Amino acid sequence: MLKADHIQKTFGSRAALDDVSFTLESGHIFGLLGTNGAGKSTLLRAMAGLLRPDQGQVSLDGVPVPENPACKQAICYLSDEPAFLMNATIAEMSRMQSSFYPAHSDDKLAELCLRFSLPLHERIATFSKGTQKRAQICLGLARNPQVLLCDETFDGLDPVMRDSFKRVLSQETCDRGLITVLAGHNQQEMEDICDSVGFLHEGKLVRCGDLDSLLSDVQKVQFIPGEAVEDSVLDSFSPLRVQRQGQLIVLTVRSRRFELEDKLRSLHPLFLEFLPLSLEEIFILEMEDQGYAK
Amino acid sequence: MQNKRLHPVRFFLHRYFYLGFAMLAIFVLVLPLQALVRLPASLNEWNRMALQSGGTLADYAAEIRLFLSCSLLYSLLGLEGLCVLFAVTGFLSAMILFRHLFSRRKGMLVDSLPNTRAVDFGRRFVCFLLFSVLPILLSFGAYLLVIALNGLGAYLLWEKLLARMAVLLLIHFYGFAVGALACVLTGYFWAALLAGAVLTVSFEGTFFLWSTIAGHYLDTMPDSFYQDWLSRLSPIYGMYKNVYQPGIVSLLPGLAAIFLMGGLALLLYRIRRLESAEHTLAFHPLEWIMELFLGLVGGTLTGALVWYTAGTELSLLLGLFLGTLLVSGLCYLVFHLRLTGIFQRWYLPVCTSVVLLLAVVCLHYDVFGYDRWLPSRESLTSFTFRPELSSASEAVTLTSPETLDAAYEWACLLRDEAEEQPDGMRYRYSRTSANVCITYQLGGRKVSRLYQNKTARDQSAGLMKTLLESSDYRSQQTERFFFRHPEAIQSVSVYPEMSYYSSSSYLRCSADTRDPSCSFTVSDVVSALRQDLSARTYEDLLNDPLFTMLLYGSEEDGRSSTLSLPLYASDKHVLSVIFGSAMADIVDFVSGGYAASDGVIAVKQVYSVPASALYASERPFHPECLLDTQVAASPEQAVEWARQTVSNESAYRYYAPDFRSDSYSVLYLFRQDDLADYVSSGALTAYDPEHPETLPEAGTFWFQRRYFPGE
Amino acid sequence: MFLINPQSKLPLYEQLVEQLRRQIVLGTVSPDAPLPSVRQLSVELGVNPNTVQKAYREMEQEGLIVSIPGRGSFVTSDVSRMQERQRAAELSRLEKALRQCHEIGISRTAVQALVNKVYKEESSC
Repeated sequence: MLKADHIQKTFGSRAALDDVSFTLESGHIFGLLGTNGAGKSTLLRAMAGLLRPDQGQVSLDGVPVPENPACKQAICYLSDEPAFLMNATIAEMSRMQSSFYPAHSDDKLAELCLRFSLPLHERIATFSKGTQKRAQICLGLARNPQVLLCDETFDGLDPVMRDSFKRVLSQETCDRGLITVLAGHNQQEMEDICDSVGFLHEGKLVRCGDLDSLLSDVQKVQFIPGEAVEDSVLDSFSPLRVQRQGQLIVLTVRSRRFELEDKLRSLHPLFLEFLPLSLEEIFILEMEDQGYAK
Repeated sequence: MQNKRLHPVRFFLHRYFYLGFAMLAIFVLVLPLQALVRLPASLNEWNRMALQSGGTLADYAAEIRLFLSCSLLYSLLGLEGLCVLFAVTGFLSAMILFRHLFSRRKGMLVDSLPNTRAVDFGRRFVCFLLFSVLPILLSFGAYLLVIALNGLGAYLLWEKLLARMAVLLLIHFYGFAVGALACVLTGYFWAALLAGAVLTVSFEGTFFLWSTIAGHYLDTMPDSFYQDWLSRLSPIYGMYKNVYQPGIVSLLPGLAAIFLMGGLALLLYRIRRLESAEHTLAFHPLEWIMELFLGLVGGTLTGALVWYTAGTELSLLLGLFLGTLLVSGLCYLVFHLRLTGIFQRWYLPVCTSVVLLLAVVCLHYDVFGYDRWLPSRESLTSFTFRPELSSASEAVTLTSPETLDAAYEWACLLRDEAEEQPDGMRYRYSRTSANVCITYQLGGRKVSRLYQNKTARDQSAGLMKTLLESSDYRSQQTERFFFRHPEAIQSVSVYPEMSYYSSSSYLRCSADTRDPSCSFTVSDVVSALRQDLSARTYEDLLNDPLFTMLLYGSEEDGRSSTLSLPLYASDKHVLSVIFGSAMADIVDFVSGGYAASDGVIAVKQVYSVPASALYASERPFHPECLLDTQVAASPEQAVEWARQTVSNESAYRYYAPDFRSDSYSVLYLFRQDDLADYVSSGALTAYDPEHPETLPEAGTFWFQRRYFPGE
Repeated sequence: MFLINPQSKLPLYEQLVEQLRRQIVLGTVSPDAPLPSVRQLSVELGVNPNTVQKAYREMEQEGLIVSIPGRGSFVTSDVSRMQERQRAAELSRLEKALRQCHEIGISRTAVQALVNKVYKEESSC
């Protein structure tokens, strides 16, 4: 279990992380979505023990993470800018990892490299960015960490590799109870693979919870009311968004489906349909609600 | 791929192996390879010389020893070069081992390794030991091996050589400590280099500049002030001096500096933040500390430069003030890499310039009473004095209470003279041998002062007599190394002090033990000298010395040196040993008899201004001040005149009153042959041989000038 | 055995449940057939294992599958009951639709004609 407790981190005058708290249980994949500059990388680095928060604490199974070798062994941070030893090949990096991480497995690395089609004895510096990312992933997973923190890892992969990565993650989560945190912008991919998400905006964790419950908490419905409806009536639903197209009204409301359906039935709609909301749309709505780029 | 598990340290070793290789190559090139190349040739040369002189190699033992433990070591780069090499390689090792601190990505990679920062630092230090220190030790070993292989192992001075090698290794550690601290404090490669330079030279450099400035305010500051404090406190200077003069005390600042910097580097490495990479300074509070410190250093430097060019006190103050502003601005630029907000912390340069200006004020008014200082008589345990322009070996230390009383009185006079000097900046008075450097020993503490001794000497005749005739003083004269070990003296030579001579008379008045016709031995001379030195009186010393004796031999440490001693007319024993029966004649001649030689014209001129005024001006003759001119009527009169006079050199003896303010007559001696030459060459004009009194005005050439004290 | 439709409006786990339901009703899956393990299925589909876990729990709650600890999950042997329940669910939906038709004024004859049409088509093919 990875726990963040009221993390505060300020760079100069700007608060990169503002009172962030959450708990991650093992065997879960957590998606961290955020606007640009929201503090995703900062949060991941704080979780990895690379940054020391000004206030608050990150702990793994109750043990504080910073400067703790045992915790650092168990946490693997995949940076958005992969860094490797100078002029190293994957085999050499593997040698380095096997000296520092007791849980490292060379066989596992070989298997992963095969799966992600990576050459073992070529200089990583010559790889393309996407291939370097793949190498980073393989080396990270070969360490058999307890926590995998991925900073925009999806964004650099092609669809085939993304698919492979998702499968590997599922496997690891099942087999070893791996905790994964995926930070990035690609909400589509996150929907498939994550079971819980969090929205980060200007250093604050705005919404956090189970993905399904998040999706079922917001409803988008389009309907044609029996008679003309005034805006004030619609406002009583406290909608996140109202759109009118002639007689058709599209409402986005934070509510459970049944409650909303019952309320709308009272308007005797001629037509009523619930539209599915993607994670991306929910994210945009939440951000707009926060006052971001309206 | 093997499933081999490497220990983290072993992995580090793999990674930095190239460093060890490079270091080994460098040091092998500088030490054992040099020995390999130069030793056989030198050995051949010694063998050849031994064969020629019919002796053995052992005859050259001292030379060989010196060569092996000194010159061979310094052969490629010289002493300074070698020190610099060891320091720079240490610094570079640190830069290589800590270069991950300059890259955010690399830093993240290293930081995510599962060990504490302290352990990481320790591993890098171990790498340093294995790949930097070990190659040095191996090179030293190879060096010794080369010497042994050439069969010269028996000539090694083990303690000296090992002490030297140990100090060089220490310098290497020092370079590493500076490098590690510089890397931890900064976030860019170039910033680390700058930080290294600042750490190394700024303290000594600023201190040097301030002691130079202070020297122009404080009359009694000795010239050796900077050097004394440098050898006491400077790690670099201490270590550097230790390389050619091994000794543990001067190493203490160096050792302290290494531990301090290394410890600080470790401490700061542990708390350094990841995001500091790619910032000029890694720690935020360091910015204003550095701005203050560099403001002081840079301000001093600029102030000194401006003052050096313009020379006035105002220029110094202006230079200091502008310098701090400039340097503060530069610092801001370097730390933040932008110009906006440069005046945000205006109070920092203001603070710094106030400190510097206050320092000047303190010096100007001698606020701390440096010049006025005098210890109490009770606290004085010994008193050392030395005429300023002579070598340190002429220093005399007095310890007996009676002599100390007289010495203390003298010091009071000297101090009073210094106190009367006006406050403020002045050019240093030119150094004369009248200046005395006094070192007061108070219990465990030593304090030195330099006194001008211009007016004090006129009042201290009685005190000087006590001092110079004391047993303290006399025993120091006779306890010198050459006197205790006459066997170390290789040759003795004696020369007359007179500028009028022909080669024959000069030779007549000289002697040299290397001469086959020499009638005396070294031991004869030494025992006679001892007698004379113990009997000299103050009055004897007031006269001009007649001869100079040079003793040439080898000192305790094997180096050859020459001791120069003046001989006076009163040194009857030694003069009779040297000249035998001809002594009276020769002394007669040298003390004035030369004035009676053929073709010598003696002219006495009386002036209305004293000798000090005459000497102070650049022209030797002053017709406008001339009162009277007399030509010696007979050779006897010329000799009488010559014997009454003293040379201008007397004026500078620290123990003698200055005669030049009450001397109005000057004796000029001319040689007719010389004059003829000058006339024919056109250098001398308008000389009327019938009227020799016109001589002094006629030409710029004078032959000998001596003063009549009291006349 | 299962397929994910990324365009579908339904959440992933509901899709899985719905697919199994359909397969049971249509008889394309036999009773007591073993289901792939959570791990297998999540890896195969590239989805979160917790999602698959949730789906399996739903299925178990609805009685579509039976989980035997140590042996895995199996399609219920009582397929006929499933089919029965499905029929009941469909009929109730039909009833709802008919009431709506009645509300907006569609005549009985029109409805009967529609029923004949559908069932005649059915019998002819």
